[in-house]
Amino acid sequence: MSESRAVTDRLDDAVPKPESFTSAVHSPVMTARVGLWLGVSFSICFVTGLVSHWAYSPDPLVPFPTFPAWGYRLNQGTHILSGFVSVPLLLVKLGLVYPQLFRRPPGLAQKRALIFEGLERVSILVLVSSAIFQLAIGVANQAQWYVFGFPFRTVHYAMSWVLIGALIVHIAVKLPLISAGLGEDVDSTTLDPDHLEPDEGALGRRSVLTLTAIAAVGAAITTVGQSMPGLRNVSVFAARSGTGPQGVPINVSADQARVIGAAKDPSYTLEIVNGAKSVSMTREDLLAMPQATETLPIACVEGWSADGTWTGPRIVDLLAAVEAPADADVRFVSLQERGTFRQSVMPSNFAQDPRTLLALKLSGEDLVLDHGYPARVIAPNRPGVLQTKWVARIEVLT
Amino acid sequence: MNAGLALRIPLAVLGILVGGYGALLLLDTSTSTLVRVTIWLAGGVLFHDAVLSPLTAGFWWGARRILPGVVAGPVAGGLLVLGSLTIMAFPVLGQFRTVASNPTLLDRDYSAGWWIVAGVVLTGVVAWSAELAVRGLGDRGRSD
Repeated sequence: MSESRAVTDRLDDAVPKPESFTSAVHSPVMTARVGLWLGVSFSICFVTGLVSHWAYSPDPLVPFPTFPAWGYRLNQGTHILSGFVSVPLLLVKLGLVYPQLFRRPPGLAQKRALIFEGLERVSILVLVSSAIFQLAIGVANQAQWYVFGFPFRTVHYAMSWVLIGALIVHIAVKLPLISAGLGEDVDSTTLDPDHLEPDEGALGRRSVLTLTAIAAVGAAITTVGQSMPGLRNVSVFAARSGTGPQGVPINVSADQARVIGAAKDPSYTLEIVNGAKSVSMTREDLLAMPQATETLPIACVEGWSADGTWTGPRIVDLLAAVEAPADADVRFVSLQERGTFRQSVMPSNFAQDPRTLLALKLSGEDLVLDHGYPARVIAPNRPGVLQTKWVARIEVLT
Repeated sequence: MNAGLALRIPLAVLGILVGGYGALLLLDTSTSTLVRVTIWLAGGVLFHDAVLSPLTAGFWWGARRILPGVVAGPVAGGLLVLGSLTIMAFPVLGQFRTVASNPTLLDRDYSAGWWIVAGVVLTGVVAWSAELAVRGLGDRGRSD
């Protein structure tokens, strides 16, 4: 008995205690402030993520709007940007509360306190692990580093609910401390635990807050150029410079999609099918139709976007050739033989929008293979992967 | 029950419902996905709490003891900025992309970009140290 007590005592001595961390930055006035910033950036991530999820839905309860054409571009640029900004904010927040990790549980006699401590620890574990998880897989995914080996979109979406739920619980638990911390001046010691040293030296509270803001702004500047052309040159950590053949980046190349042979085949024809009615058109037939030119952004879920000037027949004119009803959704099938996005379903409001084209040209030239030659979909306010490339077949869904 | 609890208890219940919805969505995925998700969740926390934080705390502690007063704070502050940006940029710096045949992906010289950022941070560290040194001298001058 006495020997085991000695072992636990020695263990207790070896592991740091909250009191071991004496810097004045570990104060509720600091955690409340950085926590507030992080709460805002996570909320922006969550809301823009929900909007993106809505835009991806083939069959939304409420139709996703086709206006403004740049809506998805702004949404996704904001989503990725707030994710990047969250990285330094989360690291600083976790650093500020790191001493709390070493808090000793209350004694066995205090049953209620012990249960509450346990529940709070579980909620914090869920919050911290899901926060690190979401940022880690998000940052990896936008660089197309699929190291995690699970379906990104499903998991990132589900985990965002877990993260926001845990964040709400955390706010509920900490509300008195948060409001007290925000109510006090940065230099105030009223809420501090006794073991904190006076706030002195170069790396005091105000410096850490300033540095955190600098890191957050730095995260934004070094990445935002992939969706804001004016800042391309300073965004040294953007996964895309934001340009490419014919001025537009590529998400999936023709080589990756294994369509080079089929796309170059001179006997290519586009099938348009509405039940028993069907029409077959060569690229020359498509070029002979009335052509429209629209400037529309291609905006990827990964955050990058670029404007393109696209030319081709309007989808609504193609659908008229098979007498498709105006309220019908439309499926586009690619020459691609595999891949999640080898086909897409376009809700009727997008199919009927006069700006939605089957583009044959970009910037006045024939599409290059990587942009979807011989023909691709381009619609306003749609996620890039739903702008199906190398279109082989258009099916009216009734 | 005070007024605060009247707000906090419903808020906690809402949080549990929202998080529970996410957990249900997760449980809808395959077993292999769940296993991988669990590994990544645990790995992230372990990496942060057992590797990153002790390293940072150790650096912080060392900087305060080894470096002269006017340099220690700025150096640790520079680490905060450059370190967090480096972690954020890890996937592009490492060029780990899974697919190779796309010339528009990772189409920058990211090492050069990192050195530029490091240079900007270093300039800030030097300027801040100089400012502290000057102010320190100024303080001493006044007290004489």
